[in-house]
Amino acid sequence: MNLDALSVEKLQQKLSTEGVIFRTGPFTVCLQSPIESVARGIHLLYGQYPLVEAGEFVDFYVRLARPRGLRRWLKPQVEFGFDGNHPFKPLPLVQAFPMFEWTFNWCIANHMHRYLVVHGAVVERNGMAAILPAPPGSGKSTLCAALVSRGWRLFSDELALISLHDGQLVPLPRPVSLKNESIDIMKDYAADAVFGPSYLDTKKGTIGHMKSPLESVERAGEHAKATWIVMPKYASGVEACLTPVSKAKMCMLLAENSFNYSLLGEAGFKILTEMMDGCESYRFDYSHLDDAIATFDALEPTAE
Amino acid sequence: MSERVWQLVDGFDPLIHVWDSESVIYDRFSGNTHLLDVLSLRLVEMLANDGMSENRLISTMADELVVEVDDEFFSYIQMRLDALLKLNIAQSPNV
Repeated sequence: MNLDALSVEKLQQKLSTEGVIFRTGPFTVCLQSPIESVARGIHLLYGQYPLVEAGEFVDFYVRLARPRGLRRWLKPQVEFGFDGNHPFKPLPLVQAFPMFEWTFNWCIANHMHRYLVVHGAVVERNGMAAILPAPPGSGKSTLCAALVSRGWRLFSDELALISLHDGQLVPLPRPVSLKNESIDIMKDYAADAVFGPSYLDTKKGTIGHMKSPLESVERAGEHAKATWIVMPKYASGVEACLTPVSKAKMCMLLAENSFNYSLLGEAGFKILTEMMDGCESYRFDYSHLDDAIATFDALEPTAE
Repeated sequence: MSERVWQLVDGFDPLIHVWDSESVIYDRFSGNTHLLDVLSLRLVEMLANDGMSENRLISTMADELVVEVDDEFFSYIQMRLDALLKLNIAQSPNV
């Protein structure tokens, strides 16, 4: 049974009490929250995700609630609770759903060490996956959303999970987080996609989410081999251009952009270098999404 | 003045992965990962068994590359040795 089998009212009632357990990619989360906007956000953007029966193993117990105290009446806030701890300062209450997304990323990046976790988007087509490692402002999520709207399968827009077991990329399809002008750009570009509300004045500016396509959610158990590492950089007025980057330099960049490479030590080095053996690496400059998609569609696998 | 001698730092325990003219090297001892060009990696390999004088390192490298040891080549290799020093891969205890 999927999450959208519950009405918003029923979902909110469950979130407010025992919590709702659902699966996304390889992870199971139990979310508790009495906040209405969290229920609406989860219902809209996670409706197609499978519910998990109580009693099954849960990776993360997450709670989003208003902190106690007088302040709650003056300036409503939301606080993240993880296994009973509160590792972050509260945020304005209206940012409750984005806080779920950010803190869920934090949970995975800081606890799931059976994967090498790299900050980057991942998309897949025909069994071959492209990792898009890039700093904020590079247009990574916009490009990821555009590719997904044109037939590429969404693995993740934020966390590349590389299995330490076999080096394969593991899907973690969740809403694509878009910032500022990218939100309207994608609403025009992907008219059929579902978008959540925009959240103004967050620490990252205005944030909006594009729902993960149903196919990506349904195929979340299908892993793929990393075939390309593409470091995108949006710049106005430039021609779409792929520039080869050496494997060693890209390997270093992925290590630097990993959340747990240092922690994994030798195992992280081995899985990263083995993965790089089978990948082509590029820097990618682009300004128009159609050109960018045409470039990705023309990518060829490594000649072996 | 005694000749400068180079050796790998104590405990240095590398895992090396080579692609074409570049390599990445993971030090099990420090947990650090470094990007090395082919000449720097060769210097590390030459120092793997024992320390070597700077002059011998440079002349051996010149023999392998079949080049003359002139000032330019000398400083070229010295630059790489200094880079290995900064990365805490090699050390020169008698300086």
